[in-house]
Amino acid sequence: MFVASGSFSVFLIDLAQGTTFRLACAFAGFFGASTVVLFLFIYWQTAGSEVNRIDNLIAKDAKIVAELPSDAVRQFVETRVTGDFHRLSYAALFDAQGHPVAGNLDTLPEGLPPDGKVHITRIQPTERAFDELESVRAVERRLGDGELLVIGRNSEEVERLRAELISALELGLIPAMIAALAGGMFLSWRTSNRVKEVHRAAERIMRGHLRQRLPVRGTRDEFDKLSHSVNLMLDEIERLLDELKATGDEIAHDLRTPLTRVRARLENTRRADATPEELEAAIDKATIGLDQALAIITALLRIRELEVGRRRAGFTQIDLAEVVSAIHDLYQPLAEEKDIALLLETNGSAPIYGDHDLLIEAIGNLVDNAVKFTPEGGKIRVILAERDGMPVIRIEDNGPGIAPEEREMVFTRFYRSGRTKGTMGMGLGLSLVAAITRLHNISIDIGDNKPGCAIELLVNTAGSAS
Amino acid sequence: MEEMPIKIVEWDAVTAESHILLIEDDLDTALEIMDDLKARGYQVTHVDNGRRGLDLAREQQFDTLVVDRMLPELDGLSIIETLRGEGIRVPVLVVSALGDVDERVRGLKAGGDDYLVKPFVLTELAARVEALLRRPADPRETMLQVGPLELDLLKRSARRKTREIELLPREFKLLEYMMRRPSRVMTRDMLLEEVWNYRFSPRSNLVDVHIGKLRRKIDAPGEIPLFYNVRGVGFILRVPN
Repeated sequence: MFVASGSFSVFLIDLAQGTTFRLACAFAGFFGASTVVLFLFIYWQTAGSEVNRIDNLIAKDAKIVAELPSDAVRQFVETRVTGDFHRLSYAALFDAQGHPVAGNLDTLPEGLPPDGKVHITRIQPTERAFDELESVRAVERRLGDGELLVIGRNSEEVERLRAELISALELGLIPAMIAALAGGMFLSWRTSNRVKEVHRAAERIMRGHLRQRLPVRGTRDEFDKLSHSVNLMLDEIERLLDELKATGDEIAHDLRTPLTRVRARLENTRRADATPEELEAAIDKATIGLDQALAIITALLRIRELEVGRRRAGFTQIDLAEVVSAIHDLYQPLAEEKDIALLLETNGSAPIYGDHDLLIEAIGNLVDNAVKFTPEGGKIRVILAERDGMPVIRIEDNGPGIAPEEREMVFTRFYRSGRTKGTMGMGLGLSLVAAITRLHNISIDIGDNKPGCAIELLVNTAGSAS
Repeated sequence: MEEMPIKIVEWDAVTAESHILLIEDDLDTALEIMDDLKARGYQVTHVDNGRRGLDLAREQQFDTLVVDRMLPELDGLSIIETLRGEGIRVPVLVVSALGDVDERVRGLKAGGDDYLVKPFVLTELAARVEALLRRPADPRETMLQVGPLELDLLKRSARRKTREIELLPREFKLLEYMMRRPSRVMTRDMLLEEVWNYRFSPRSNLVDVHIGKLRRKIDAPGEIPLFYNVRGVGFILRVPN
């Protein structure tokens, strides 16, 4: 009935392993235990108090009778026996040797001590068949003249009450347990069906169907919520994979260009009647091409390390003023060659917690780009200032600038704007900058210098030490 | 800049006969390195296993060790640490595919003298091996001289014969570095690392521009050139024979 597919035994195994079913079992167990406790309480309250009542009654009777004169005792016994229509009461008088004198017992009940206290014993009534022993609550007392008085009462009534209670318990508890287990099985079946659906979808995804999503029934239950967030995650993974694929294509393209050139050059040189000098020149050019390809690979590895590793081993207290002045010093001759004025404006020190080498690399990269794209006779300003108590580095040039719609994208890996097209590995340089600034909690903003580009690095000193 | 295609013989003449131990488990890489170093006149012993490399470095006297970072049985850093712990001070060049800043710091902390990240150009390796083999001039020296060129570290002045040369602080630093290591090839990366303390290779021809500026001050027209460009490798400061 519950089985949607597969054999029943498989279903049972699934069931036993399912969390829902185990929970249902635990619940049924707990329910059963509490019902038993409840019944025990009722039992104690009813059967138990009945026993007490009987015990008190016969113990009291025995005590009173024991103090009566011998004739009165005998009369009491006779009256009690004849007056008991239900044949529930027992009363008997035995002489000192244990022979019956009066009453409805032939023998002294075995093992019943004459201590005036109530005990459970088994009795052979006079008028009954020989083997019909009755369970009786009885008291035995020695009278003043040595005679023994036994008063008892059949406790089978109580036994019956007990049996009724137990059967009531069975009637109530067993169906309840069955209902709980069946409910558990049903819930488990439902859950495992949902899980199976998810599992099937996951299997399809693993087989390469990356567009597949987990089923959402629209019931807004936990499964839907879970599937929904997993689907969001899958969306993100798919987006990243697409990006990675695009990046892969870009890498392949970036590497192919210099390698194709190298290959063509070597092939041409091999064909031509080359002189040793020409051969040497060809080899040198080929080496340069290969170096370019290697540089791309190295840059890729560095970006990956920076992005994945979150390396902060090189972090120390450093002065940004010293960093920008070192960069100015390093790039001054390069700018001079292009007749570009590279100006440095700093205003005191700006201590931050960071990696000196990496910051030189990042800021150097930006200055490098500025030098590259600023026309001869242009001007580049590197300004270290302070805004809201946080250091800001501003690099302004009067080159072509970056179009507003491209500003967001230039820091993603391999993006090439019109400005960077044709410049080897440009996209990588800026991704490297982005990776380093992210590591330092520095935000980058590209603005307009009218004309030209103004890149601003805002150091979040509050968070950079964490 | 004047180019001087230096034949391999020329810049390994001083270091020939030096015995190098190469511990590298990748056979292709090892063969490439061995071929290159042997062609430059070095004697090279190669092992592909860290444990044997350590044993060999203990038993024999090598002039330089070239050690891969990742090795079977015993990794490169453990080899260096063990050797340093035993007081063996042989110069070590660590070669590694792990290029990040932490790895580099770790390599140098373990007692390595230099760290080179794969993939590298063979001439870069050779230049660094040579730098390790030949210690620079005594750092206590206050007067450096290469041919007609004199550098006074106390007065911070430079002179070529009688001609006084005005130098900017960064030019002075670069010249001092080169004059402590005459007739030796210095790669662009080495100069960036040692003179400017930068551990990255900019795409621009930064180093060339700096050297070019310095060279124009040192080698005036009509004078015998002291600066040379070693194609595809770096620069050399030397007095021609």
